Amino acid sequence: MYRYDEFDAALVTQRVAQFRDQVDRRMKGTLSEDEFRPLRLMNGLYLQLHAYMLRVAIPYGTLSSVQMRMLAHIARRYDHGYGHFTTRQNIQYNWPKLVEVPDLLDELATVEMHAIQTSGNCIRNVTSDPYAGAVADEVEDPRIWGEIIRQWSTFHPEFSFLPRKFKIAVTGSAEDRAAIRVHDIGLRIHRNEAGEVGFEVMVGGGQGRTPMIAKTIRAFLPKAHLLSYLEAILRVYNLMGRRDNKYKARIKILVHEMGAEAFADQVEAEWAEIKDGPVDLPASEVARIENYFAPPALDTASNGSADYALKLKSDAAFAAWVGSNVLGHVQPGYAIANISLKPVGGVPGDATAEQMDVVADLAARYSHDEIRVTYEQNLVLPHVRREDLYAVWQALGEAKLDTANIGLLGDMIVCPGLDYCSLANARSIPVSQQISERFSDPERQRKIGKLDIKISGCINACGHHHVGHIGILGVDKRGKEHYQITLGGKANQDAAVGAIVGPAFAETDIADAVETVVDTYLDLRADGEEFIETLGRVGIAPFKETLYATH
Amino acid sequence: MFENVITANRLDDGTVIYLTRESLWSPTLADAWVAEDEDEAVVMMAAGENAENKGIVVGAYLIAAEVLDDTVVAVRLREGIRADGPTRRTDSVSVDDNSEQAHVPLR
Amino acid sequence: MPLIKDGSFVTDPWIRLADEDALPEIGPIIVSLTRWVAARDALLARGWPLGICLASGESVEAITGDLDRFEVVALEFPTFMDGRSYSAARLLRERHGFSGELRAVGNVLRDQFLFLHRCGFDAFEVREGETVSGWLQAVAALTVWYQPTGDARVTVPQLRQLAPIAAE
Repeated sequence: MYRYDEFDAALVTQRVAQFRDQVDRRMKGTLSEDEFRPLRLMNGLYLQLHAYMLRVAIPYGTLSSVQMRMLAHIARRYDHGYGHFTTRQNIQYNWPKLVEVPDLLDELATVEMHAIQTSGNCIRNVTSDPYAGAVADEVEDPRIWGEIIRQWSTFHPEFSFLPRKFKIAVTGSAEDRAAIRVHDIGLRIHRNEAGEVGFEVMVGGGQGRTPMIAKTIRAFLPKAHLLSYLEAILRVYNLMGRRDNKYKARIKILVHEMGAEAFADQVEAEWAEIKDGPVDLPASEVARIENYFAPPALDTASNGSADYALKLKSDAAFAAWVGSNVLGHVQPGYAIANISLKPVGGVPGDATAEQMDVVADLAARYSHDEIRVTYEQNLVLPHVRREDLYAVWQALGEAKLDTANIGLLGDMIVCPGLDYCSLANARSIPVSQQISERFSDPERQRKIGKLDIKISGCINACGHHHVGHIGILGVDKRGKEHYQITLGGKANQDAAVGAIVGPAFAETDIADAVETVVDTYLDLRADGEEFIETLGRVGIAPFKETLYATH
Repeated sequence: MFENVITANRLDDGTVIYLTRESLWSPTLADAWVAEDEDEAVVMMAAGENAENKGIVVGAYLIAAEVLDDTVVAVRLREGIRADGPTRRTDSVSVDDNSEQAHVPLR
Repeated sequence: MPLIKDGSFVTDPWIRLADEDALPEIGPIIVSLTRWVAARDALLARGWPLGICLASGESVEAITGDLDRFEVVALEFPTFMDGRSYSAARLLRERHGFSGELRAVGNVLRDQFLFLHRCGFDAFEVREGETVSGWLQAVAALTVWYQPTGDARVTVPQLRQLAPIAAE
């Protein structure tokens, strides 16, 4: 894992002092709310439906045990004992007091964490593959470049007042586990025909009211030029992006209106001016950062144990958890263990301080001190010896963290919705709870197979409904909560925006509607077909028919 | 029927609050000063703006309310949730946790 | 508007000329791009120092051929949320070599001074009540920078080259 040096540490400390002064000036009245709002947002502090909400960055989704314990401490000391993991590898606290936030940030800084640029019209927290450094299909660990981007984008003096927010995601694998194609910039590390490693650069993806899949503007960018190329993209966007209409200000609209080719030409022209300038890092600095992401010292002799095989046979619940939540590791004998934050009837993505502590302890003991946070709002222990899985699972069970549903119907992405969010039109959490309770039988979920349900409480699409196999969007119809269903969205390397099936359903009917969709699929599916494959084969018409015939 | 109350958030800690007849701010909607006509609402709004200017509250605005069984309830769902807290929550800490706002534990 | 230049209040010798104002006989003036394009010869014939003000979104390319004729380039911030002039400033300084006064005008607030300074602004039209100590405090609030711009600040990657620290 990356560790701050004296410079990184000094910056975060200075930032807290700067923010403390801004809060002071606000409390004294020298800053009006209109002036203070963008300043607090630049530091991740919102005023939400009930209270202030602080969003803390977890750059590229990597946490150490010490950091996770601090997140737990903050939940207890400054909040109501829990936090909410978001779809962009952040954690949100729902109840901090404005006057205590500087102290909270001081404590965070002691574990090399911050809330810098987690909101505002600037470059946001860079996100990445939660399995980085642990999967076999990886060309290179994307977190190296995640960290390089984090540093470059932190207080970039030119790009702190962009037309709109700006999100960058990086992956090092062909399989996209970071939803890079629905980001403002998606970067995929790959090898070209000559065997050199570089980036495919995709621009202009996003969700919100105008969902778009990113376009590739450069098939191969040599690694060494990444920062100058990003600077070129951001400069073109900063100068040309629309500022007349908030809803047309994202880069996706600029790319769409100009055309991807014309946009690429502008970027290339700008890049030609700066590519050999001082923006790109010297090789020695890249190597310095790379060193931090060297693989942990794994036990190469470990190849599971007879005891593990026995437990798999004798304990069906354990085997079910391994079946859904555990993935192969690049190192034989090791596994990637996913921790679901989606228990039946729970609040998706929420974790209590006690649960965070349990995960921190397990990571320290069994996963080389590493934890990952996924955009699907779950946690990961990335480096667990197979023979330790049973002990990990048992400890997770005691903390009610052993739900065996990763990738299954119960593993829904859900925004906070109208229960917490001042922008929402409808609640998301109760809908997800209705659905998870309806499908609470784990065996039934396993029979249904892979299925992504994603729920947003408004068109801003924080719950990723556009790219859910089944997307659910909350709308307000004459003061009543209604929910529109989309089908066929995908967030992976075949990213696609779902199609709206028809009129919205009332809150009381939405779980029935989801069940109808699922039953229709089960009726139609060919052997071994996943939901999304059946849908691809038969189209949405049969689903439309059953949905609106029965309602 | 014209029934409005003024709500805002307290600047220093963010708490949802309502303007009372005494021109104070209460975290309980039932304590709110209910305006029954537009003139009264204008007077209330001036008090809200005054509190904003003094740095006591943030974002004061009028909401539709009803007096039911001698208590005040918000008309819109959003304001109801704002008054009572999240309808589903992971913690058990809840202001005025009296009825439906039950704690929903993680499983 | 009070003007802070290079860290202290200065008397502003320049007159910002609105497009409808008549050309004064004497004195240095700052004109809009529109006026410069329309009355270039007359403006040059006056023989007094000349400055130009670009509205946010007006391309610096429109004046790069004439940069040596301007002692001041003012870049406008219609609201402090409009960040186009940060890019414009860097282009003027770093790409086109403008070495005259680069002035931030419009909605220029204390919490923007630092980023503006980094992008090459050396003069700031500030609100009434702003102080030099406030300005100095703002531009020194952060001393650690990852990105090179045209200013004199040393960046973190440069510092790391000077004193390499081995990864743990």
